[in-house]
Amino acid sequence: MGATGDVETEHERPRREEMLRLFHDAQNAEPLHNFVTSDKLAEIARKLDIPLAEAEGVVSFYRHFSRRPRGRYVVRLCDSLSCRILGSLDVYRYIRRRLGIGRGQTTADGMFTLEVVNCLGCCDTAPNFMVNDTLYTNLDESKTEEVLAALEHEAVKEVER
Amino acid sequence: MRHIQYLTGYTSEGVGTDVEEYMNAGGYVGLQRALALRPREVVEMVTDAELRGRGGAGFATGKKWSTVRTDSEVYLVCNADEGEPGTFKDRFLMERAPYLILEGMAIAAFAVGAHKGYIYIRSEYPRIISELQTAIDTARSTGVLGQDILESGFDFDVGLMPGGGSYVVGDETALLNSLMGNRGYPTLKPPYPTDRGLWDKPTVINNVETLACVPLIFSEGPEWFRSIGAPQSPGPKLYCLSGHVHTPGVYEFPMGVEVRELIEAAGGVDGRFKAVQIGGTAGPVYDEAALDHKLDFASMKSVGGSLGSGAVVVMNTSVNMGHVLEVIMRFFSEESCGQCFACRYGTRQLEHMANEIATGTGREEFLGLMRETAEVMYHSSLCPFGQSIDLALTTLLDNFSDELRAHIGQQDYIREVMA
Amino acid sequence: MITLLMNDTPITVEDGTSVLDAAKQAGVDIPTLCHHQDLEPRGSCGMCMVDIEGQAGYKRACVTEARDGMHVRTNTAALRTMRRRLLELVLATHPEDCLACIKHGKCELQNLAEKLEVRELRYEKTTRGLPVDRSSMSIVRDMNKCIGCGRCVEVCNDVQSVGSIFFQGRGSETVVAPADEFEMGSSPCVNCGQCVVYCPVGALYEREDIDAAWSAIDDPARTVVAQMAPAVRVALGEEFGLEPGSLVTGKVYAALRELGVDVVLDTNFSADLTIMEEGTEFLERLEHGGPFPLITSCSPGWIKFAETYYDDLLDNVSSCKSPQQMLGAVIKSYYADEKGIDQSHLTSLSVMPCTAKKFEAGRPGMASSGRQDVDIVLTTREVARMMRQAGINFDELSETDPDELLSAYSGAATIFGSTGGVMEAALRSAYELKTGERLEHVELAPVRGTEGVREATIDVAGTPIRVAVAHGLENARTVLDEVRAAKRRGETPYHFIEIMACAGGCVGGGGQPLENSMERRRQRAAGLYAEDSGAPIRRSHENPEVLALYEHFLGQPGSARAHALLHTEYRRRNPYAPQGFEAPRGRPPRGPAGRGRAQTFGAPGARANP
Repeated sequence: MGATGDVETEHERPRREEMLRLFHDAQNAEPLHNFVTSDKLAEIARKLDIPLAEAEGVVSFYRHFSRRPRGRYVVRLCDSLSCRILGSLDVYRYIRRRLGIGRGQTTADGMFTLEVVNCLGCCDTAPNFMVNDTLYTNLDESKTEEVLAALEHEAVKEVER
Repeated sequence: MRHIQYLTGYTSEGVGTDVEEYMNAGGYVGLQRALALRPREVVEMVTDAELRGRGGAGFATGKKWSTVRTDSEVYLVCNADEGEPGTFKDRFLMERAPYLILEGMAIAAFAVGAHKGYIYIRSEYPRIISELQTAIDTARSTGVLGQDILESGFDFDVGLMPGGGSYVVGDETALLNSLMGNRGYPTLKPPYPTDRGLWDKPTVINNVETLACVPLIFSEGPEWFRSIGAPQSPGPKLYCLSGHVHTPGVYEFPMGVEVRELIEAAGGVDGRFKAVQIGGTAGPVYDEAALDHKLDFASMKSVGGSLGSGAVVVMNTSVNMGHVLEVIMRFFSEESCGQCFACRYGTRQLEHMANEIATGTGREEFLGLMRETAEVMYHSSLCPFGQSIDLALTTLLDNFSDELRAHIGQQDYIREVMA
Repeated sequence: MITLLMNDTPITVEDGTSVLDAAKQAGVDIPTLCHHQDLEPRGSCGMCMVDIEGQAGYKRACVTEARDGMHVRTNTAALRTMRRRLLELVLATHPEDCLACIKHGKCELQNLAEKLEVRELRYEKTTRGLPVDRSSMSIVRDMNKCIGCGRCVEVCNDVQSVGSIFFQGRGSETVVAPADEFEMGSSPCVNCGQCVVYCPVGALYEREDIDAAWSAIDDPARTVVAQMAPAVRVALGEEFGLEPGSLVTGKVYAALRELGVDVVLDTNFSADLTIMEEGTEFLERLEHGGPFPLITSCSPGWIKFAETYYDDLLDNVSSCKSPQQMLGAVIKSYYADEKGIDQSHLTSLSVMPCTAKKFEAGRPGMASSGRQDVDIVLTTREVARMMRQAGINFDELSETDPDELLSAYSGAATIFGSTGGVMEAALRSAYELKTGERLEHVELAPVRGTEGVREATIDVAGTPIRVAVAHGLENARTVLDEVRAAKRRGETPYHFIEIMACAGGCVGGGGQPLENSMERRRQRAAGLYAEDSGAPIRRSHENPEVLALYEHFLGQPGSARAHALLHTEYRRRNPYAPQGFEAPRGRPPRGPAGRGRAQTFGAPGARANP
């Protein structure tokens, strides 16, 4: 293709199938905000020699990626059938009360984002949520409180350091 | 029928995750035997074993392998994009028996002439991704993957590809698109991936559990495999029990186990049985009449249902079927890829009507309109995703119509909660 | 050949024909919303489902190959019901402002709703409330009306390889849009408008300038001077029920006067003028040994594309303005002076087959007369709308002549509207001017036709001149990549290349009447070639008004004055950053009058950092 006339040669260019991995890397490179920045998106599109609109089209298809800044901790609460019938709504309500955020929202301090997802593949330990890459299982209100408090504590400690 | 331990024989603590332990337990015997055969014979043995795909569609694995176009480079893809609600067997296998899967992949690759394979794994399993990568590296250094596998002269290597969070990508054509770095849109078949798949090269896509069954066929023989379970879909099967059962988890039974037995194996129902959804979100929702159903492809088809992935979600009498309707319809709406009209618009409308019903603002005519919508989707959706909503919806409406009707006009709390 | 039963009638079609096309050949209409004859079948709408005997479920006719002995039913009660219900679903999320929609009466969704008799809308009406993107000079994007057929995405990415828009998001929230922080106006969009002509509904459409045109016309203090592009004269008739390709030049002149335009000129005049300038530029390069290839610059979609994706080849692009801009500059200078019109009271209006011309008119450097050279650009469709608003009975109009001075044209000018036309016109003049001989046959068959890329070698005074013609930007890429690769090897595969952004050339422009299929484009081109073959003058350098313009005003082709008015410069654009006008790089801005021809035509100075 060589759409841009870049002199980058074929072997230096990552292959197209690396795309999702590049998005993962881009998102992980923003641990405080868990999103793919515009600069990174443009960098990936340019590397793969595809139009920016197409790169955006791919990243926007997949729910794991965000193009808007999110919280430092992205809570992905599962609300599939198994989780729902074992109390995911109670967990949801607790988080909403505790953090003051609903689905898709981020706390004012940028600490937490709450997302509702369709299945984490751990229905045997329902209800579950993931916080970033860590899975928390068999949740109820008190366990949810423990997790949230521990995360807040961790964040405070990091700031002190 | 009794609980069996063929696949799960490799999943107990420390066995499947250590390559030496795995070999001590009989691992890589299957691969060794397969590599001594000719590829065509390997395909024939799998055909002979009557192995059917464990991903949901139940397509005959041997048949799939035998239709691979042979005039080109071939790819093998392990579909580890397990996104089906109620299903966690692939996660279970990948966590506990990675070498079993890699062995199955090597046999499959040898059979179809692939030298490059991919495991497309959902991004919701980050820990497994790193563990699997370690297993791949270990397998390579042990000589059971990579160049000259087990000194047979056969080369096969595996790359791990993380997904991005999309249910539809579980469909094999969508998975290939995603693997190639595109939006996860399914494409119409034909062409089948075995003819034109990754980069238009013939590509075989098999589910994790299917590939895990393959070594057993070679270590124990196709007759042995065929002797297990239901005649038309034999072999061991991993069933996923969740919801209101005492001990949720993965249970291995011969194909064709009755729902009742499975529930008993999981310690029985917590509370009083009310309903069960079988095979995943697109699966049928039954009342107690389902307890006698045999869980294999043919038997489920004969009762108008579908085995799907082997998920069994048990619901007790505390469950509000309006919620079930709402959860299922929301799932479809959120996961629809949006490519074809029927699914893009249909799921949106179904979600809306289900939500209205669940929150007490539904109207009587919604029940009929929902059925009509699912029927249009069944006939005119581009891929199985949109077509499959019909079964879940009609069984739910048929089996729980009185309760759902009663919801109409009854305020509930979901809308307030999920707002 | 295979034979199949189409609703019990045996039909014979060629192997490989889709069921949809087989039905069409048999005169059976299967409804579709996403399919277009020019594009890949995508099977997204599902509307074309048919019942094939012995096969489970319904099949999509567009992607199902007809087979020998197949029995296809297209009109069963069940199919009618399914199609109607499917359409009902689509309509539930479609806005109901049809009466105020630009596509009213030409909307494929509306037509289908009428045909399938959807009388009930039982679903909850959900509209999306998305903002309408009016950032572009050329194209409006209203995703509230999008039905997600994907034609525009295919056209923008595959046919044009521009990649300005793509599907974004997923499920029912999917839209077609540029990357996140871009609007159409800041995206790499080249304004070709091909997305517009393939959009079945009112989701993508031209930015209308009708109001501005009326207020200029209605202002008694203003003199409105109009010009009409070559491709308009063989297409505008379609808006009034005439056959595609019908030549209606005289009627358009008359209609423009009926609208209230004061002076009617013709862009064909400046097409001839373009040949004088570009031909001279070419001959200069021949004399100086390059740089080659010289690439035509008439198509503003192509120009922006070059600036975005082939900025390393900008020195190869002719510095000539397009005919629209040449005429605009001459109208506001020479014509205004000659006719004693105060420039500040003159509105220069053009009627174009093209949406990119709207963008082009606003480019910096397009104010050589001291003011913006072309004030208002109307597409063929817009001017037809104005004619309908004015109650003009187009068919009944008597043909009239244009106003003199800047309207005479040759047959060479009129074929500018078709792919290959500029090349043919340029070669006619270049050959004769270079050799001093008169061409016996002016028709150059090798550069005609609709092959995506056409090549020819023409002997001009002993020099074999290698030329290429490409239309549609993906085809342009094929040629340009070859040039680029050759350039790295220090070679030049061609001397002269014509590139038109739109398939078929301007006859298929983004502003042309709907429908705008390849078939129609060919019919329109045939109309232009017919006009050329009957024209008394067929060489641009024999256009008497053009010669007079040089004699009285411009001096020689390529003169300083010609440069100041008729030539322009280009700038580099980054497809990965929001688009705006950046400072021209490399070349210093061209000075005004006073610079010699050698400087203008010689090899442009080497760029410091290509």
